[in-house]
Amino acid sequence: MIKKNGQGWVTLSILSIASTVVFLADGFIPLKIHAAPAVKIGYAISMSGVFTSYGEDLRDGLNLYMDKIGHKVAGRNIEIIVEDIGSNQVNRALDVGRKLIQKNNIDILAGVIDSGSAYALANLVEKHKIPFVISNAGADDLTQRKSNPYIMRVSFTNSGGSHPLGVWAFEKGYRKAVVMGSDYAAGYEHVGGICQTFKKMGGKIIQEIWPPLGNQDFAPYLANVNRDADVVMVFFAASDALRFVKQYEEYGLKKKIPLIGKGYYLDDNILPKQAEAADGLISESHWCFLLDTPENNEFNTAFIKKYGRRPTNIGEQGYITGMVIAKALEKTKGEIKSEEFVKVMRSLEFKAPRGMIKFDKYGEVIQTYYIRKVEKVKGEWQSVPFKSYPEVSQFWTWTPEEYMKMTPYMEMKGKWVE
Amino acid sequence: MNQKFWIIIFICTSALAFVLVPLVLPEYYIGLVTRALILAILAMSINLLLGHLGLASVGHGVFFGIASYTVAILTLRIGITPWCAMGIAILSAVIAAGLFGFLATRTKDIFFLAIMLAFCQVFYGISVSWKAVTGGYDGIPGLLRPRIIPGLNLEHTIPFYIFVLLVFMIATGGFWILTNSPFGLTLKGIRDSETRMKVLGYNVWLYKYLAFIISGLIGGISGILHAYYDGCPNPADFGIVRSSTALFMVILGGPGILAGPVVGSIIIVFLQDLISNITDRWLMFLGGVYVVVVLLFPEGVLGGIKKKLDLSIGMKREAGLPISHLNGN
Repeated sequence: MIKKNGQGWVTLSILSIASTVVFLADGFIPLKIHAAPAVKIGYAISMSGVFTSYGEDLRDGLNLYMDKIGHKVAGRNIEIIVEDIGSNQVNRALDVGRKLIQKNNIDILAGVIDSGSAYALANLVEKHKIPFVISNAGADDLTQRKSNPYIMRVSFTNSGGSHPLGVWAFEKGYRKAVVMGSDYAAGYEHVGGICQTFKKMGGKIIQEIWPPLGNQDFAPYLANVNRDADVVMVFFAASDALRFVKQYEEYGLKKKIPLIGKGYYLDDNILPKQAEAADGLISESHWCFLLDTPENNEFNTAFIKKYGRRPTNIGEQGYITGMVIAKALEKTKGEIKSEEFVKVMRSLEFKAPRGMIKFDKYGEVIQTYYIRKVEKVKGEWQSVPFKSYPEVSQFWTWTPEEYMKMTPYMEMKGKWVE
Repeated sequence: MNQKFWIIIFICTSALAFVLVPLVLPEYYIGLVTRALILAILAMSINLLLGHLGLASVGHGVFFGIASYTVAILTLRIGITPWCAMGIAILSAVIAAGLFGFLATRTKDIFFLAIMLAFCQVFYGISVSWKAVTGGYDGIPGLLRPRIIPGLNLEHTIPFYIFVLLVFMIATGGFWILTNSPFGLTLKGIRDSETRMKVLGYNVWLYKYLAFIISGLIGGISGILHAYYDGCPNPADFGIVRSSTALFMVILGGPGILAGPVVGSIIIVFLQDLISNITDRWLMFLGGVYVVVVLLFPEGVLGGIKKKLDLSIGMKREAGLPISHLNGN
């Protein structure tokens, strides 16, 4: 009916004038605020969805370190802006990233649990020239084929700890292996790394089994396992890992074929529930609760005192996120000049709870990987480290160039068996 | 005052508002307005069906997603030039609409809603599980905005805003022409009484089918812009939240009103930004707003205000007319 009397257009005009005014007002407000001298760290973590517990651990770990240094480095206060990016919600991560960078004017972006969000944010920080400290997301190519000069990763590369595990398995005397992993990108990378070094040493992969992520019943997959194998090498995480380890024992496989795998399948969170089923199993990790170093003991004690629960490897990654930023700020005397600041971070070398760490020119951490065995210590199930591989680079013994010419593990699914 | 005067005032002020955006707003808010305009185009495609045909859809993300994935797959996996990729992406959205239309336009009401949701979910499943092509949950990161004119880099916020604004203007103009053409009027006739139009000798199904395809086309345009905005098509494009938010934008703004989608979209995008400063429970809040709007503004914000104004100036109008009789175009 607008056409007949024009009243609708009156309304619309008033509305559009009003919205213009709102825009103008909105635009001027931020201009009045003067930049605070604090260093602003945008901490984009999962506080909703399946990775919530990881997000909480990352948050607590970083806060613990910030408390330790009094939220202050080189005379500058440190302000942490925690934002929820959900779990596997790339759009949301990008929205939050843009907001942190353009509205909150952060100096450093940190956090990120899932690799999808990390890839997307890596493109964003490159555009805005903001240093990006990845606290968890492990996708190989973030610091390999798709790295950029703003990326720092303090956690691990998915296949990083797999390489020493493959070598260990061969040295242990295993020759024929069945590999199993959850059917998604991280699964291919974690398992791929084990296969790569195991085969290079002379071992043989005789079977690959890829149950879907979030699998309810492993019985059909376990029934299929080739009984000629010397060892089963796996990557499972969270609820998958809990079911898998229990069923592996229930079906009598544990007595026949030794089981080894990436640390996530015996994560500290689920180990008490796996209990006897996990007894004696071997796993690899870049951090262990039982690591007896002054740094680790200090971290463990402080964490338990503050939060009343045991820390996890993710909590430690949050802690190191703070350490890396603070130590680099000390070196630059509180100055942050995007790319150069990342270079300073990459030149760091220090003792963390997990041991000595340094970084390569792609921003990836070079660290010790521990081989651990599940035992009952003082009435609690624990993964006890018994062998360590120090200074492991993400490229293992290859040069970066050689390594990156090889087919990415992502594309190797189904091709390990000859 | 005559009507033309107010139309001119309206167009001028809105144009002024959008032109002023890059001059006065900080970069972040320009980004938000860009996003609002892109989602407004998606909402516009729903508006065509909801406001002009009375068909509500919670699955329009399917065209949005198909187009955005097509652009990314063609440019990043195959290496086609951006213009070509955009063309093929629009074409694929149109073809998809053409195929789905055979089924969807034979239904109405809740069945239409459900079948669109089903299409959307099928593509959600494909995007999650066909990892070699779609990248699974990670989506396809790394899509760079094309260089359309030498020297004008769309990677910067302002040029991209202007580009989106131009596309939005063209889309809105086209939409206005379409809805005021005999074709658009026929659609309204079908919405008000399908039987009557059949009796008058119109091929009702064909009109619905064509409107559905045009709606898919507009949704596709929005998907392409969004793919370039985020640079990373991912399964959320097919997600129920994307589609239902767009539907809500239309309902919030006022179904059938030309400016409805953009008003709804701006309100939602800015509200989301505001709320996420306070709490992480954005979706819960959105639900609350939805309930309030349905209770207080059943014809949307624009529709509601218009109705109040019309009543206050003593327009003789029966109270309680259905939404369909209140549209303003």
